[in-house]
Amino acid sequence: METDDGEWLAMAAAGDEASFGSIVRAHQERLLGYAERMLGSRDSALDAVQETFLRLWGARHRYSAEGGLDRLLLCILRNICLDELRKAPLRGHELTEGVFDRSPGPDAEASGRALRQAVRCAVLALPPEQREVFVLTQYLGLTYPETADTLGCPVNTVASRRHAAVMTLRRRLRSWTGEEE
Amino acid sequence: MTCESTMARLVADLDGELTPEESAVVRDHLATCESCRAERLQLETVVRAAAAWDTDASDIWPTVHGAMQSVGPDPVLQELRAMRAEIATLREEIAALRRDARPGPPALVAGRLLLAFAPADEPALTIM
Repeated sequence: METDDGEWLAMAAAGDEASFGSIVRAHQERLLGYAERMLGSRDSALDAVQETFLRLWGARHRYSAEGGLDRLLLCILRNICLDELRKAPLRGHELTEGVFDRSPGPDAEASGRALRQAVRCAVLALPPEQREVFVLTQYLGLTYPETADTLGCPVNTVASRRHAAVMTLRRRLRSWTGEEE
Repeated sequence: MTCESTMARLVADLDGELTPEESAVVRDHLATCESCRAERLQLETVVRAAAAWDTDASDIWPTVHGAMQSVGPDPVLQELRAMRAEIATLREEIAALRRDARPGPPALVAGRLLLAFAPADEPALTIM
């Protein structure tokens, strides 16, 4: 991937739009996963990721894939998301108690959808600094050191935020995990 | 190791983030402590349940490609180019100033030389 990124970026810098398209297609899913879980909205996530790629395109001559293009794109997107959250912090987000309650669904698919929704609400309700660590480690698969590097904080901070996030989710998802109150 | 310190490390242990030595200490404690084992199982269930929030895939390349056409030149590059042009102009100005300041054969000396060879009946030249 990194080799491809380097070649694609070099070709994009020379004006090759198709190579830039390869970069977009290789990274979009991961970036959308981060943005949607940070911003809580698919539309906002699509806007943020599009803006990320446009910023990269606009400054493609200045960037290299040496430090990892995935890391660079994540840093650009993170700044965009943080700006967005500063302007419009997540509020409410359908965080009704009922959402967390396990209601017997007619089938496994409905039950899966309900669990998905419960997890979504529980994760979005996490304090932003815990949510970010949880999203990076849980959904993007970053290690603690990689997460610390991305956030510019000590590894111990990542560990304690991740621990706190899991504990909060445990409390909120009690009815789903079969844990007694 | 106490239950308290074990529980504080359970999430990192589940994530595979402990060193082999730390992990072994946690494992040793779990082997003898039923409540910590139950706690670990519970946290594992939570982490597994969290995977239920998947996100849909989308191809945003057509949208990005369309928007790229309206992206202007990189503003930093533009500024760099302007700075280069400014530096080139400054270099020319400095070179011109150096040329002017360089001591050359003064006109006065040349004038006096001319006077020295001028015929005596010609009117005297005033050199400024």
